[in-house]
Amino acid sequence: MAATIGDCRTLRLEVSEDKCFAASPWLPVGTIDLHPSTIGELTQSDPIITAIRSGQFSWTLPSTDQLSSDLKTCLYHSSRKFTDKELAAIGKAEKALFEALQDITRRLLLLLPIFDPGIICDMPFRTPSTLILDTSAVKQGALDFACRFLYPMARIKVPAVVPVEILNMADRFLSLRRKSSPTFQSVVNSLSEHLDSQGTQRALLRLEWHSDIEVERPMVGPDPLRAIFKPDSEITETSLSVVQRSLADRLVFESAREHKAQLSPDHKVCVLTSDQGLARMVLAEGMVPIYFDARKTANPIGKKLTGTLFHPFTTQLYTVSLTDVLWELATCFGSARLVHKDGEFQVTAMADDLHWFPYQSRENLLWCRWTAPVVPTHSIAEKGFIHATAEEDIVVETEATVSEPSMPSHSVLAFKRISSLVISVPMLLRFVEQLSRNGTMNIATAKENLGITSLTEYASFLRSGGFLIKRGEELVKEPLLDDLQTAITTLNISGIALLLMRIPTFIEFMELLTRHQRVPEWDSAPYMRRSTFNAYKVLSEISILALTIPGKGICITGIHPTVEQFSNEAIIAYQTLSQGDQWVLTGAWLEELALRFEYHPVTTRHMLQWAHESGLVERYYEGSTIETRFEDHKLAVLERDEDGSPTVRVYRLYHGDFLYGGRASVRIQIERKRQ
Amino acid sequence: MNTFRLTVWHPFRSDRDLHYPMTVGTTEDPQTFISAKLQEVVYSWSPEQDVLAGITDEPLRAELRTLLFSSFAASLSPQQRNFGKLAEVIERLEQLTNEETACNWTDTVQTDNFDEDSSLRCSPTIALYHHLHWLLEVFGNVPGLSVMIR
Repeated sequence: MAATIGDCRTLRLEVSEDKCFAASPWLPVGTIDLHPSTIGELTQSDPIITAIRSGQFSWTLPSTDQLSSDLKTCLYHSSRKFTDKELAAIGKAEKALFEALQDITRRLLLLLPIFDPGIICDMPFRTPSTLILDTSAVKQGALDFACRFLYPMARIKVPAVVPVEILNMADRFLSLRRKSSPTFQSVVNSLSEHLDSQGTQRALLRLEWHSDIEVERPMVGPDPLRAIFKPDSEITETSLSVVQRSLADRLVFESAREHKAQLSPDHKVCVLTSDQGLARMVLAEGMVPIYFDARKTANPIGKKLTGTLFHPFTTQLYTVSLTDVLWELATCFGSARLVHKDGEFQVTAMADDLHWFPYQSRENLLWCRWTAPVVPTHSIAEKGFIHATAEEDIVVETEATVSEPSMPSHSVLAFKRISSLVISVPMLLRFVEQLSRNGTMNIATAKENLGITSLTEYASFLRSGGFLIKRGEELVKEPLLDDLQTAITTLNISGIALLLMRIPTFIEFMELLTRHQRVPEWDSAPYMRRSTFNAYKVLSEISILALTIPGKGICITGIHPTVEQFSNEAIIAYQTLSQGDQWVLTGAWLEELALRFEYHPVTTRHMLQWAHESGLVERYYEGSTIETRFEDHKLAVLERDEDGSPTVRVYRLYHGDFLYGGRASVRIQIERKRQ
Repeated sequence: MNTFRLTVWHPFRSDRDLHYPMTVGTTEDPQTFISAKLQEVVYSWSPEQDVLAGITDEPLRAELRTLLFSSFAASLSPQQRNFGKLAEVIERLEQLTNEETACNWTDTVQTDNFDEDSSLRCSPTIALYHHLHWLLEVFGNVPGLSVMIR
């Protein structure tokens, strides 16, 4: 995207709905002014990329009259005459557009929902609370607010009826879109269904796949949901269904009440809604609603919005990236584009000739097409889509019509298969130990003794690094194997790392990490089979060269800081996470240090102790309740077992048993020691 | 160092009588303490960033400084520091968001999450406008609330 923007600083932002905008395909929704740093040459990164990612832009939306007139230009030709019903449909589409822009800007957090003042006083929550959402909270941005500013103290619970309602909205939209003989009225009606359903569905997907938020889903049997739909009285021609509002509201409330019954009386359970009826019902039943308004209050239309805003509860700023804006608009309308005098960048979420697979939602992939003034060394095709993520850091090539030389070099991260060996690290340690002791090993005998059926794979792995040679049916150790065994026995981690770096496939794996700083986990990128990946992951972790963080990928962690440097950065990482709460999850803190400063948890454990002993930082641990929400956040560490033999121990980073041996440390508090 | 602190106050209500201890032997009149005058903070916001950093024009800075700090000084009574007055400030800020010289983009004290070598950049005037506008929308219609800025 940065390449297509070039030197342009002012861009037109336009959206398109391929079925509804028959008269004119693109509806202008404002201008984007980029404000990159002018001292970019002093830093390593491109100022335009930084401006796109870090919200250095302002978005000026058109006035109500302008939007209304432009919408009409898109919907029909001026010479057309309308029936009353068609005029009503146009009015409905206009209202839907205004409301959708409100919802989009709130979901992006460019504007904040207007909460009940009685509740704002209690924010951010100081004690754990549970928020039960209704569909309006997902659609109108309160869910995004809660995730960004109230989590983790606020737990998010999505009652089953909410996805059901959203699914029904999507179903209504698709029924209208796929109608075999569409009328003008049904086409115009489908705009509001498109705007409602797709953005709301994306909000739930974003919550599940692109945030660290843990969503709780209550169990609900099928019976209450069976009677929830009734035929639509407004759009009768398609036999669509709408949800019985009162029943859906009651199910949301019942979820809240059921949850409250399972918790201690002092745990706050609140229903998050912008529905007055539901809020009143909740009040009448003696519970607290968190009510917000997203319609009658602050309206983005005609305003200048910005991608860098003040956090409502802390001293910090928060940012909204330009790609997030573009992705959200593309999802809601179908397509969105940034246009300037020399080219354009277009993002499309839905079109008749584009397919969809779940991985696209999982990876936040949409279809992109662009034209640009100048791209060094590569030309960019004017037509053809490739997939791009909103974060822009990983872009996977699909069946794009763009051929390899015409792809911009910065946007493609193609993974080739590194290795397909299947090995187990504990078994590898046993194999090394036996071969080092015996000097030679008969393959058939070793298979039997060690119980390894795929012994040749272990042999191939070690042979590629020069640790052994094969003579007929015999494996013979080389001097390096003894060095490896000594390093393992003495827990000489840096020695192990150096020796592993003699194995070509391991070098390639580490180079991939070094080149891209962070690469996806095995199931997101086809550079290894899962069974192969596990071995390389464990090897990189026990040699403290990398750490795998579920949902974020594998990051390199080879940095060994000075104690002063570590102390400062440990406090920075703690402050980033604390957000007003003095206790932060130890696992989150260890991962933050790995992601941000490339410190492996083993390095962190050692350095924290050193910093404490040097009088630089004070650390306190809290470990009353084990955190079981992040069970897949594991770390393999080479340690001695009870017999003194080296063994691979797997820690769950959020259990709190890694950092401070003998004491639980689920949460941590760090402060600079006063000299 | 924080240079800006905005607090929203509400009359304090208690079912019990409140008082503070009088110093023995002084001439303090116990009648001067009126618990009904007590106020409590319901919202507090203190950004790290200088909220006027985007305004380079000195007279304009001075005007906004007066609008923000003098109009909502702690020495004024809560009735004088009401949300109606804040609405006037917001109206002025809205005008400024359309004037390029009043909403310059500046480096902040915060590090950019995506580029640790750089500072995060923002337009404090636009960001302040949106934040104050949000506060006005949230608290503007609640009777008895007042704003204090220091």
